[in-house]
Amino acid sequence: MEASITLKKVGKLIDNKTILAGLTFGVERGSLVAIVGVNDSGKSILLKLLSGYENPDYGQVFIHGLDIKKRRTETRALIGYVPYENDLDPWLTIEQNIRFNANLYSVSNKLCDERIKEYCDALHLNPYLNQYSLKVSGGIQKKAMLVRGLIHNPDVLILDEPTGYMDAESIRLTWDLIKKIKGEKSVIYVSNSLPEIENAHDRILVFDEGRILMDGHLDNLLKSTMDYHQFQIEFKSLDDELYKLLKNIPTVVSPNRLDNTFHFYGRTRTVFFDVIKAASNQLMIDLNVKKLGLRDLLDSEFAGRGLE
Amino acid sequence: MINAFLKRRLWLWKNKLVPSIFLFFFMPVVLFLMVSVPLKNIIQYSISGIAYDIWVFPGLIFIVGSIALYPIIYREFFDLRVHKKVLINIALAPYSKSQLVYGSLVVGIIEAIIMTLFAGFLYTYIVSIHMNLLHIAFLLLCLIIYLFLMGNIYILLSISIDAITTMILTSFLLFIFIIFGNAFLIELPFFPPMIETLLKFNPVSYPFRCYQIFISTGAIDWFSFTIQIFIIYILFLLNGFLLKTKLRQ
Repeated sequence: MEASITLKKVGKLIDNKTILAGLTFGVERGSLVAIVGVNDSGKSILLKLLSGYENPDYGQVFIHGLDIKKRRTETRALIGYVPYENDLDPWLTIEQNIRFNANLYSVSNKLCDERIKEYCDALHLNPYLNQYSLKVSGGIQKKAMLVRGLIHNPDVLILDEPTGYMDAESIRLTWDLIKKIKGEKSVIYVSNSLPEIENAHDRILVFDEGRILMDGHLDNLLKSTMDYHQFQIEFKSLDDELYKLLKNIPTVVSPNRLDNTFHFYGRTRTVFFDVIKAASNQLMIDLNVKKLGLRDLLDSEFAGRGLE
Repeated sequence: MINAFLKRRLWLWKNKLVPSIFLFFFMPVVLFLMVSVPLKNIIQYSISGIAYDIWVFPGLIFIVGSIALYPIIYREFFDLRVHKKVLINIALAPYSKSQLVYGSLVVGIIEAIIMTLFAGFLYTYIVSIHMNLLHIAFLLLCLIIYLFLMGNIYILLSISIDAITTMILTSFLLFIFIIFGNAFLIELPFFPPMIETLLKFNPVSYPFRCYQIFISTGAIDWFSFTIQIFIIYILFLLNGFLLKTKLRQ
């Protein structure tokens, strides 16, 4: 597929500290890419570089093949950026804020009306259009910022915490809209909500200390790094002898115990039956089997304790 | 872009109609009552023998313009910037920083000119000053050049300063300088000779001096105009560069 965003050895320093270090990757047109990582790992800085809000200290960023630094005016018209913090004009209404952006990008009144109707209907924003942005909740402001970012019909949408401050209903509406526009626009976003990322991505970039640690669809990441299941068995009594017996089962990975609960990982569910078989004469109170997700993937990477 | 900024100023006026109208009417009136009226009883006549309330008229117009332009620039480049509001979004639009500076300034000047025209009508009504069309046109021309100079200085301060207390103190000093250091209210010969000489070289006072020369002799000081336009151009470039640096773009 054709690249929408391309980074070539991009680096960013702030106060002589390396925030991004020689990043090289591409984003296909029309794809939905999630960026995830611990706080201060450089995710938001990366979005700022992609949006043109900040310049890289070295390397190049291309949008549709155009160098963002050299072809600034052209690339900016292609980008819609929604920052994390509310940056609406406090003394304008929600609608005026959106229309101001439309005017800045020379969008005709007719198109502006159509887009406001389409996006505000989708996000249930209509009742708030005539209210000052200062006086509406953070979630409404965030939805207004999303409409503002879409009003000039950008090809690339860059979102920093797209559902920040939102209630459950707004989160659902926002993701419905983002999934709808994905395909015609490339969407790249940062989020700390792992369930949302699990449900909405073509690709996940796992970030740590300014580098990409992992890159791919969640299924592929889990398959290539840790295709495990997590098990928990609570015994009536888990003594040292039993714990030693269970942890020495060859297929059991990374065992540990907490009170009378035995935790372990295994590549397949059959490991569970090996353990059950070994502990068949013990009284068990509770069982739990879980397929690992993004949270476990990140925990294993960032806690510095690989499963193996 | 100017269209977008203009519409936004109109929306802001509409959204805060009562305080805006209140300031629009009362600022020139208060200025007249608190500054011109008492000074008239002290100075009475200018050095060239013109009645003070007639002599001070263009100075008051320039002061009204300076005051009207300030909050627009302050809001755009200081308030919204330090509070991380819409300025970043504007800076991401497909325009150069110099264009953004120019657009904001032009819109601010249009608003300041409208306010100044209102003040002008008010003062001519109160003091009964008679001016011919040529004098009015030249006053407007000098005022526009002056507002471009002052606007750029306001922008320079608004971009350079990050702390609100520093901004308030600097603005306060600047206004004292604008009001008293440009011969708007007090003629420069009233100052000690050394200060007078220094103030004569102050480029901000050039447009007002050009107007006074035109009124008294009918001559146009083209050299001074050229210098003013050159300074405005340099300030534009400097402000564009500063904005770019400040926004780390």
